[in-house]
Amino acid sequence: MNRCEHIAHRLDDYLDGHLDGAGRDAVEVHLNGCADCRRRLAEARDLRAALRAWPVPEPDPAFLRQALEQAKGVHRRGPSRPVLAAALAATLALGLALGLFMGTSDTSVEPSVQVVVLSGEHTETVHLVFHATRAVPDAEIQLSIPAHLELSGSPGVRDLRWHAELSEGANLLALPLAALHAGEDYLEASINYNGKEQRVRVALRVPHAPADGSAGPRSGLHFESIDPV
Amino acid sequence: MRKKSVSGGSAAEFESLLRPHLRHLYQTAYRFTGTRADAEDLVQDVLVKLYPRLSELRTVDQLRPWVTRVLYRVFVDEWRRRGRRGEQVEAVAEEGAETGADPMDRLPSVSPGPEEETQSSLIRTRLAAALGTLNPEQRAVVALHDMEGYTLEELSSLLDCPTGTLKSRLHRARARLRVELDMEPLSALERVEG
Repeated sequence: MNRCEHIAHRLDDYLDGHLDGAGRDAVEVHLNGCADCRRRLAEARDLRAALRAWPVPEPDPAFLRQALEQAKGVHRRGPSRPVLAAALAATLALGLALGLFMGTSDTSVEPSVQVVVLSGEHTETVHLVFHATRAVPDAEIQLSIPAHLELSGSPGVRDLRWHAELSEGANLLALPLAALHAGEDYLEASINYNGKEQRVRVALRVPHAPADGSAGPRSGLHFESIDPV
Repeated sequence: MRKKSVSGGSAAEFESLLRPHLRHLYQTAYRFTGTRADAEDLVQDVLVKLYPRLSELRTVDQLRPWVTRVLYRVFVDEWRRRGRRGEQVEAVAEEGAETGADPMDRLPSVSPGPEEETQSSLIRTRLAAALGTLNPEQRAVVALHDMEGYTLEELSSLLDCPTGTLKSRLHRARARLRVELDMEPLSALERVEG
């Protein structure tokens, strides 16, 4: 090992302050006379500076609330009835990120043309299908739950936002919804990626309890909500 | 198997114990994983694992290092299980940057701009990719030591791992980063490892 290699091998320790006085002096004497090792030292410093300056985002408060509820919900009900699990599991299942936005418009809205009638008697699952024309690494998905419904396991949570990766093709988002009371309002979902947005609105109706019980439950409702652009 | 359950009152206690540490957990998770989606998944996994351990949480004097250690272990286990490496890097918008912009859009542009800014952006982008090549133990020690500023001695206590092991791990991680960043190796060993 020549002198430069010997010194270069100790530069990390030198920068980390792990050398004793004699070791530090030896490195500095060599650095004074060696431009190559000074360059190596500068690069090592640059790397450290870049790591220290690594930007880290603040957590989304809505996510933190949901995460706590999810943790409690999983253990209250067991994994077979996940709370936000619909959304979060979808995050995992959707898996992996986005590619819808091939159009020229920054925002596209699919107006609701359907009214989905829920029985209001028990939790029913509404499926939203997001068609992605290509895989997308980090899509932001937002969901707004109407006031007469709640996402099973997430009581009181009206707005959800999380990041997910979408696979090319159909990505399924299963929403187990429980009725709080009769009513009709829109569930809104949007996907944002690369400054573009797609939104969809689905009218969800929970009728007043019929006297003859004729409005039977409709679980597993499947709503193709967003088409590729 | 029946899961442990926690009463409603205790559920509130769980939240009050953990909430002061959620920001730290999330940001550490982000440094470990490099993307918001993975950081959220990791924090979620940790909370789900911690909830049944409420009685243990109550007895911990210093909760932050304790939950950080749990986060580290879940990250290493989960990352290894998923075989994630060399992918999923994401740059975070700088202050004033357009929200929701594709991170790849922030690659250095060929259009003229302040040289330092371009250089800084280039380093971040390449560094993100380089970090993605580290194994989870290396990534974690770089995140905790070089990004968060823990000393090796602090990490030894935090992660219950000998200082020498951590130092060696950190050395190899930096060597890998230098190779990925086309920096000159600091030793012949790095050239061999690279």
